[in-house]
Amino acid sequence: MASSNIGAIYRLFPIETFTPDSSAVVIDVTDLFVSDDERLSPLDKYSQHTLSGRLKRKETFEKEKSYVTGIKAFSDNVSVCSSLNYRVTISERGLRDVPVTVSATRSILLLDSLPARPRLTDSRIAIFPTGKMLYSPTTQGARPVWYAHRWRLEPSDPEAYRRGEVVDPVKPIVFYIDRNFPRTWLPYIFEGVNQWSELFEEIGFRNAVQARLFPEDDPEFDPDNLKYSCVRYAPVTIQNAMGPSWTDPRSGQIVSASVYLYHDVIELINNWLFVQTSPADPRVRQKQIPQQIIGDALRYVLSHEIGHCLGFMHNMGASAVIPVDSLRSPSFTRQTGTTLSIMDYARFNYVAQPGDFERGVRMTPPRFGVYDRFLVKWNYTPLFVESPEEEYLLTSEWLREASAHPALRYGKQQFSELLDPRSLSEDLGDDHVRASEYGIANLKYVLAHLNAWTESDDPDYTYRKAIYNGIVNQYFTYLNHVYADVGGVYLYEKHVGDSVEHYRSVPRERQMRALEFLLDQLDDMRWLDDRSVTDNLGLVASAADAVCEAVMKAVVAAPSKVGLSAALAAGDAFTPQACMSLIYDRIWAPTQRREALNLSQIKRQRLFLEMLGTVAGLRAEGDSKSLAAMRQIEVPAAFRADRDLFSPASAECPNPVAGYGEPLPLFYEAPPMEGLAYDCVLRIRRLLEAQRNHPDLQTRLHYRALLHTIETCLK
Amino acid sequence: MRAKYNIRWLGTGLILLILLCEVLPAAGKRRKKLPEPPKTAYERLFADETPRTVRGLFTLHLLDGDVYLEIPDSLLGRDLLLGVTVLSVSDGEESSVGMQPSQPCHVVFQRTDSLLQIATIDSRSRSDDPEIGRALAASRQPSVIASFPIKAMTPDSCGVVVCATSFFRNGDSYLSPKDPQSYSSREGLFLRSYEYRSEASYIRDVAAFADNVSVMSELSYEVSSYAFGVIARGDPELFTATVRTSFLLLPEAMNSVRKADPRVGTATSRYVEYAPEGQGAEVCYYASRWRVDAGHPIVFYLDDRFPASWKPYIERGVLTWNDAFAKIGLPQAIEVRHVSAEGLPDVNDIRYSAVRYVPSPARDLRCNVWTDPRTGEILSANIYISHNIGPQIQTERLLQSGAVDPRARHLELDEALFGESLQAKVAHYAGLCLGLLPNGGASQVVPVDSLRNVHFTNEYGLSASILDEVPLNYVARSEDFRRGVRLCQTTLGPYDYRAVEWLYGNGEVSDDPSCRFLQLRSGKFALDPRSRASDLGDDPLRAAEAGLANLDVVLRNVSEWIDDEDRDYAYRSALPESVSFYCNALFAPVIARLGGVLIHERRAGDAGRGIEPLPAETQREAMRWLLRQLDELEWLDNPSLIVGEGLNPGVADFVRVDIFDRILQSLDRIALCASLSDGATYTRAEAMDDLSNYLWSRSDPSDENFRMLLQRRFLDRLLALVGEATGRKSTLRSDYFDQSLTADDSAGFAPLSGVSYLTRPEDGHLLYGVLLDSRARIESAAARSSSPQMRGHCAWMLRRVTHFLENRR
Repeated sequence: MASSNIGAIYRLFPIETFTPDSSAVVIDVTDLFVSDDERLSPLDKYSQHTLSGRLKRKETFEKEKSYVTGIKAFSDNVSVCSSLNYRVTISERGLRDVPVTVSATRSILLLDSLPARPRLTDSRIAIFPTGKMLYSPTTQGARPVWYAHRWRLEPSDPEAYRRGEVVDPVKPIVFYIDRNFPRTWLPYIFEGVNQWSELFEEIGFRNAVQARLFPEDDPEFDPDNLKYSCVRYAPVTIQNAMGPSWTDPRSGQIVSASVYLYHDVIELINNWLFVQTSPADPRVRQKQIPQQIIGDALRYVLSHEIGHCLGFMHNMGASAVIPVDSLRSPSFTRQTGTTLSIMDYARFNYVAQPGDFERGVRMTPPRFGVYDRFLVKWNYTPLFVESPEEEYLLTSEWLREASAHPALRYGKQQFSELLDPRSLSEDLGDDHVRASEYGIANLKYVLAHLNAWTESDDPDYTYRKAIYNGIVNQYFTYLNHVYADVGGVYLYEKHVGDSVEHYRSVPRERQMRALEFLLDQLDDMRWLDDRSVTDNLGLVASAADAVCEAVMKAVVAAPSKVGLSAALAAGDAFTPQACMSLIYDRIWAPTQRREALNLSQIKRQRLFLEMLGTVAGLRAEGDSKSLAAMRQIEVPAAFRADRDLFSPASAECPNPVAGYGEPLPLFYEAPPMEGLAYDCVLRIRRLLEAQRNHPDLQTRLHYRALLHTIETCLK
Repeated sequence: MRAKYNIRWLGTGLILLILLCEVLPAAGKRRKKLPEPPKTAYERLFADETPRTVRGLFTLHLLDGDVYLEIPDSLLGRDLLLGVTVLSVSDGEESSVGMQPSQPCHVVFQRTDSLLQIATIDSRSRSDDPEIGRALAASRQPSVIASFPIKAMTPDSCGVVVCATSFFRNGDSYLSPKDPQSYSSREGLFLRSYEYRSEASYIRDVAAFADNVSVMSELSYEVSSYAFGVIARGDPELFTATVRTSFLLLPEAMNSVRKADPRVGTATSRYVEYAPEGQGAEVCYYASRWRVDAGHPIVFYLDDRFPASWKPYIERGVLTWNDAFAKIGLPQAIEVRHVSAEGLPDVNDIRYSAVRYVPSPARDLRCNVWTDPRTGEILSANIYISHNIGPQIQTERLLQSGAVDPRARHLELDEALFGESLQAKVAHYAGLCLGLLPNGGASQVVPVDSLRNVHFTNEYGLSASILDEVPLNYVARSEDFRRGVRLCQTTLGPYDYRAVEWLYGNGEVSDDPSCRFLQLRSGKFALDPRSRASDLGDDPLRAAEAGLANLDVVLRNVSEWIDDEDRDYAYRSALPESVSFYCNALFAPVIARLGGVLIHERRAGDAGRGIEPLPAETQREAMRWLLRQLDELEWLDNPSLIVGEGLNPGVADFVRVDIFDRILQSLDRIALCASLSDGATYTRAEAMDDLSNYLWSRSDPSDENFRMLLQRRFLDRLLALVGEATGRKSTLRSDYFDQSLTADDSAGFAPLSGVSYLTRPEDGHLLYGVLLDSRARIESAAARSSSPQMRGHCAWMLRRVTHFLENRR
């Protein structure tokens, strides 16, 4: 083992000399701290200028302009501060050789000589893991194990603790709060940190999580030093927050975790509240939302980030357990809020309708949900047994018991393919069609009243521009939720004995209902083109047309998408053929009825044919592969708002095998779509031939143009 | 016994002592002849040579092509403006005197123990809140742009000396005199690439004044020119420019800053404001303006080298703006002073604003303005007038007013006429130097008929603002001129008064339509047909008719007028080009109506809408008018123009084809405009149908060649459009639809850069219909025609159409 894990050399330094007492060597490390080392790069990969990493950036380090500015040394850590100069080029933004000077502090921390005892974890719970390969003499073959990310929280008085008393931890988890936060934000930030102590108190720890301001009288304190976990303010117009954390790789112990709140996170919260809850909540029908509402939302954002700092991942399934109409119940929302875990991405109550606030309905996520309690209990309850394996026997049993309760199940965040419609971002409730109906009704209400509500505060229309784009984006979000049901497969991480099934295809009726909903929406998008709003927002063409095109693309890709769920269905599958039939009948019904077509219908037929031609491999351009595999309605890149709030606390999650990774259909051959598409094209041609002399001029020309297009494709 | 020995020792000691005293001073004298103490690093800097030294804001030395800066500690961290200006060029077509290669930037000097650095300060974020302010300070370190090893301390130990040659002599873009708008680039048609020649560049001189210093560098390049970016034009040429890099000490930041308003055209500086109660950082803009009050006028120095006859008109032009300042209680806010006989003040001192003479063949004026990036305060401004403004004015006078004004019918204009035009141009640029932007919409406020009215033109001029580019009154007729109608706008208009009132006084934004401000945009987002340079009157169709009628008179008579002065036809050889440009300018505002979108700068509460696509009927009318005009331009083929450079059979067809091409180019814009409207619009398909109708309608058989030319262009475009809509790979490029959808926030001050939620128009089937109709029209044209060439041409076109419709190659 030892010879297979000797450790990779990071740097070699020649020994310059020895210390006077010969007990230590002296090396010149200037080159380490004033250099172009990518591993120590101070430039943010997901910076604002690169649109969160979407644009390419070239950096040239200017060594001759860089130098060391300061050094500090303490008993358990040292730090070196350097001024580093770069020239940055982002050609897509016209930025060329822009000088950037960064003052960076690098810390070297001494880890505990004896690592903490790891807590074994598995993929059935939302806790960040560090993966290891376990080679044991008692088993045949090495197997992967995972250590949970957790702080080393030990009772200061174990005997009292075991007697059931609440005790202080040996070392509380302290977050130092930046003194430079806008003063109005501070109380909510403190609250967002301190509130976690409530959950730790339930498992016997007093004041386990504490917020303190940056001390002013401690010469050792330096917020740039890795040793201190901080909540910091960044005066940048990024609408986001992030929370990187660092763990001891030997045990999964969290050594340091920080949260960065960028200034415009407050704008993001404002826009969410306005777009999602203003129909129901009259108090937010203005550009400047009352302090107590937005402050509380800031607290929620921070408490979510602190959750990451405590080792908790996202549980996207926590909102899917709640019946949609309960979100309109005053008693339910007051008690439970919008989700069963604040580690979900459930924003605000977009289901509540006008009048609901007056009836007492709450618009916000809860302070904590039942799943958060479970997380704290599972990850931090001290277990007085002899070994990690013995601990795991207990904690694994907790997971098995939990699996019987939908509220305690874990919905894994899906980064690429959206297979499981339960684990989506920003969705509420157990029925996407119903929830989206409510949500869309609300969006119409917001748009209709937007001018009236903001006219006096928004002289130059910048606020209304942001809200309008927010409405369009939110609309896409609701449609995407419904689209996830089409071809969806419910997934659960399961161990033997758990009361869940590994997978289950979304039932056929539900898939059809979702698809029909999307097709109905195609006829009902004109409300987006409200010129009384958009005429003042600069050059705005038609959001309805843009959304329609994107949705049509998704609809035409649906038959291919349902292939997997059909193959996995026990019986009564929603097959690609049935899917295509449903769509075909809808799009071509007006033609079959010999009607004169309006421009929207013409557009849909044209798009249908165009995209079908691509899938059938008939058209020269277009990317048939990506279309066939499209699993979500693509929001055109340029107006995808950067909504990746709360990037996970650890940068990359190790992705060993199955459980933590993305579900990968193995031994699955996607049914070929070309035949189905080609057959449709021929059917359309026959249909149109019969009507090439339609009495209505526009319709007639449209059919002839389509016939011409078909001939072009078939050549 | 002991006592005796002691005395003896004492005696010997004394003698020894005396002897020693003799010896020691001698030794001391010898020691004084030992080598002197070593020289300081400072003293060793220049060995035994004497550099050229100038002292001012700080001290500079120039020796053997190297420049040394002495930066005192007291200057570290102080706010400076670093700017670069082109002072002279070897080829006036390549670059321009007065051009600034890069925006002046805010810098500071800073120091470590062994390095002196120049670092830029980002003043684009600010906050009044102490906490956020501290956070900003920590986040916005100065960015180092140059770093020099310290060579020595100054003798008083309060400063350092560095050799900074590399900063002032290099091929970097911040110094490069490459002017994207130079004449040689022919508006971007030719791509020029500059290769820096270090061996031919050197530092020529240094200058220092109380609050600024400059280094003059001669930078040389090898310039290669490429047509369409790839085809080399001729051999690379050598080019040198003198470039002045200056550091200006910024004054105490001005307190009274003005937040810009998009309804008043002012130059702006952008910054982001962070406030603790705000729910989102706010993008704000300062308006640039001078710090001017009763005791401190804005002073322009007049370059002594101007021809004497020019000076009074230039002075009057600059002082025109005092009329506006007088109205807000600041009479004589602007002063013009003459440079003294001794040449003071020194034109190298960038603290002085001046109107400068440029002895180059360029035919225009330029200006540049230095502003304090922290507050938008204008610190100095310069107007550059090139020598060949003379011929430029002369051509304008001839073409635009020669039909009505006998004085304009000469190649050498009389002084008063020339001076009046010069004064008008200077007044325009002086306004730009005040921080005001060109107002493209001011001339279209004036009713066309009023341009023929004596009282109106004398009272109000030709345009609501001299900040529009106002041509001469090409609408007026001879009888109007005889009655006293004005031809040249030299006075301020109502907008100018209100703008000065707003920027420098306490004025409110006016909602008087004559005071509207329309930004002069360029490129594909110049969508508003009302906002144009070089146009007159509120009805571009009738204005163009009047201008063309006058041009006709000029062309018919020009030979008679200038034969005596232009015996070798040199002037007339260049005339066709000027005439075609002028025709372009007359037709352009009409063509701009195709797909025109009115863009209003408005605030909540103002009347009207922000974006207003032009009504379908207005666009149709413009199209019909243009197509009619295409057949009424034979008079351009006047013999006086035929004796031009090269062998020109005629200018008329050239102009007609150009107009037609620009109509075809408008199709993209027409489609965009339709996408921005609801309800009845003028569509791309309808425009194509109008063109199709025109092209195959009955026409004069003698005009066949021209018709065939246009028909081919039209068909190419139609087939490409229908092909794109029905499944073929697209060969067309669109300015608007090719861009990915953008939801950016350009509004108000930020330049328009995209259209939100734009999808391709749903008109494929309608274009297909146009193709079918065109086929029918070609068939009947073929049947009608008696010329074998035309019949053959029709047959060829029919074949193309049929092949397309039947999908044959």
